[in-house]
Amino acid sequence: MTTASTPVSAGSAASRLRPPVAHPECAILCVDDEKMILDALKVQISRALGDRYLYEFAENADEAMELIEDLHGDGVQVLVIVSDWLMPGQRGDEFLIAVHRRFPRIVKVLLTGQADAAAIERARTQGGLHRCLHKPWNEADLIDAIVSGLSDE
Amino acid sequence: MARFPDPAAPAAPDTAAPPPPPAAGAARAGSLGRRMTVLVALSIAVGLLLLVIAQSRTAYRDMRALSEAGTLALTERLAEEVAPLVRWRKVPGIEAFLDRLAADPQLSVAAFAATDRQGRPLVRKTVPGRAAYDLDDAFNRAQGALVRGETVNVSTSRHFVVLMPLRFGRDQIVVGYLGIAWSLEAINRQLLTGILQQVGMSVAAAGLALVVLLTLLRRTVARPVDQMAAAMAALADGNLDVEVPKVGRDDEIGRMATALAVFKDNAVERHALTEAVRAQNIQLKVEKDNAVRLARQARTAAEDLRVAKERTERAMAELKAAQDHLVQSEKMAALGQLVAGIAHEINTPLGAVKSSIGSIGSNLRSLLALLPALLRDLTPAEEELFLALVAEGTRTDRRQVTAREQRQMRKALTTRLETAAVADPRTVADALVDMGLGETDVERFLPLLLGRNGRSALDAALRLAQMTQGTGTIASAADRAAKIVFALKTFSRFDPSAEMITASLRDGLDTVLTLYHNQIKHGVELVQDYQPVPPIPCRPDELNQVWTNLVHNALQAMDHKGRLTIRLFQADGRAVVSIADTGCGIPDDIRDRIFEPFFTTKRAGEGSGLGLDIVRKIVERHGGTIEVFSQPGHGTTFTVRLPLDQTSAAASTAAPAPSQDVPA
Repeated sequence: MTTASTPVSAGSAASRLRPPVAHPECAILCVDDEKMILDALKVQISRALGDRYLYEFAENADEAMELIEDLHGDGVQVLVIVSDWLMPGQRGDEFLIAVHRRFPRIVKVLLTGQADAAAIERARTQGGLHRCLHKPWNEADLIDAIVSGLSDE
Repeated sequence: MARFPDPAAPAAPDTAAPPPPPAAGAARAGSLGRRMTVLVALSIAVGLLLLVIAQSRTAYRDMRALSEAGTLALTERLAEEVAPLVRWRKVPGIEAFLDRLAADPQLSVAAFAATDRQGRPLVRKTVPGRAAYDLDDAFNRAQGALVRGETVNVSTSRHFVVLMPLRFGRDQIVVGYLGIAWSLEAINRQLLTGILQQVGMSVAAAGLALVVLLTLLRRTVARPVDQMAAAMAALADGNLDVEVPKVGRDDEIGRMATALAVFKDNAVERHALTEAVRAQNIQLKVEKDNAVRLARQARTAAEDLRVAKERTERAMAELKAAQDHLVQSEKMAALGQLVAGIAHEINTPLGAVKSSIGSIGSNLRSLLALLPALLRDLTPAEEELFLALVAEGTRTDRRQVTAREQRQMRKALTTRLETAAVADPRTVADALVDMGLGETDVERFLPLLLGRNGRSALDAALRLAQMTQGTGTIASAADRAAKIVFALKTFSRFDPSAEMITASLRDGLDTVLTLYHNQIKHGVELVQDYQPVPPIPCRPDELNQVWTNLVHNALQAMDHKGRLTIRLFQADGRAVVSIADTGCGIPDDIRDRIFEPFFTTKRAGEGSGLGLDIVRKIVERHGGTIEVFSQPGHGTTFTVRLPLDQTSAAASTAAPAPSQDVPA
């Protein structure tokens, strides 16, 4: 009925209890320091893409990187990252560039309320940025960006 | 005509008056010698002449006298000899006697005549070849004297005529008269020869004397004088290099030479002095010109100063007006720096609103379709659970959960649901977590979830929950946006003559913190320690400018990482606001200067350096004080103290003094 239960602890320890699955898991990761935005993104993206993907959320770049490594360790492949730019600690463009170095196949979308043209350009040239959207974003544009990124794979 | 250079006039080249040719000097000396020669010669000649003439006259007279005396004596002897002849009228004897006389070359008889006592001529003879003389005439004229028995002699230029009575006998009776005209030719000739000889000798002697004299004169007088004249002429012409002739004698010439040497030295000295004086005069003239020019410049400068003073007074008035504008500009400048962050701040809630509205709309549509069928299909027990689930999911009092916490909750729930054999446990867990439920809440809903309508009920409940969340999101987003807009409006208001109103300091601090929220939340720990402080009379817009500036500086000092501590409290009858950062601090050497206008440690363009100056002015206008305490490497604290009421600080709220130094 169930797998052996061991004490739940944060992060990667608990993830090992996930039951084995038949097909590789794919996840879409959203990173933004505003919980409000993450909630909104979850509603829109999960509504559009449904159960095919896992939806993961992080509130800063460090948390996101840790999460990506955890998921990778669990055999979950992060396909798309939608990231804010202005975040505490590492900014969005630097984060995406770091991700690109490690996981160049991940589709990267920048979602930003401020347009720092230089940062966006850096993310494009060094980070393989797929698309940049501005807040407030259009839901259709967001879904299109993700889907087009996934189909480019 | 001055021969020496005139000290007052600039030195002109010596070509102004061409120097006389040097030969002239010699010529003049020569002419002196010549003149002397001429004069001396003339003098000597004239002297000689006079001497000769005098001598000649004397000699002539003497010789004449002598010869006349001799002739007289001779004539007397002849008379004695002739007297007997004349007594006895022996005419041939007389003739022969007189002829013998005439023929004697030593005696130069010109004419003779013998007469008797009555004067009747016995013999008359004129000797040829000798100057003629008319004895008859002489006898006639001398008749009287002869008769008296006198001897008469007549001297003329050519004759010496003797007329004498002839006396015979013992009684010496006059028997006749004899007249002989002796010719003076010989005498004259002798005399002339003698004179010429004398003259010749005299001339020779004179010539010798002249030569000697002239040579002497020349050597002792003319040459030294000539040399001195040349030297003096050269000196007079300004040639100070001449050599003064050395005359070793002690006489006038020597003294003149000595004097000339002294004159030359004096002249040289004077020349040197003159040159020095001229140079000095030139310098003085230059200095005088300078002084005149400086005086003129000073006058101009004084005039300029007066004009400048007037302008300054006018400018002071303009400056006051500019000060107020500057405060506004600073605000705008600070605002500009905030705009980017503010844009993000507004866009964030807007994004949330948009997505929330989208999801609300789509959920509504879906629910309108799903709900009727669901409510029909649910059993009463399921319906109760469903409604309870909906109630749980639409609660508005849940605390905000972080994504990390949600992840953990999701994992725990998934495990629980797996244990409970709920189908698709991860999706279900996800939905439940989204609705705010945790592992503990899920127990009671297991029956519903395990039931036939479990998924659709969950789906409907989730949608309702999402809609509720959405409205909540929209509400708080709208609030956020309104706060930001309000803060902007408050910040940008400009009213320099604003009256003081009673306002809460806390509100002002909150307004400012809202504006900076975006910058604060990123790595800055904000500590707000607000004690109750009553509203104070103030100009809130200006004070907001103060808080903005201090918060801005604090964040910059910390490079947006660290702790920002804002305190509000009362102390000593004053409201105190302190803004502290954990930044790099302010070094001791500039701490006293930070309130100076235009003092800034930032690069050009980054800060005007006016911020703290304006802050201080605003605080002073409120009758307050501002202090800074800083530890380099640890942090800085600005403390603003404001009066709780303005009666105690009435004087300070008048128009501010241009510069008041606040103890830092």
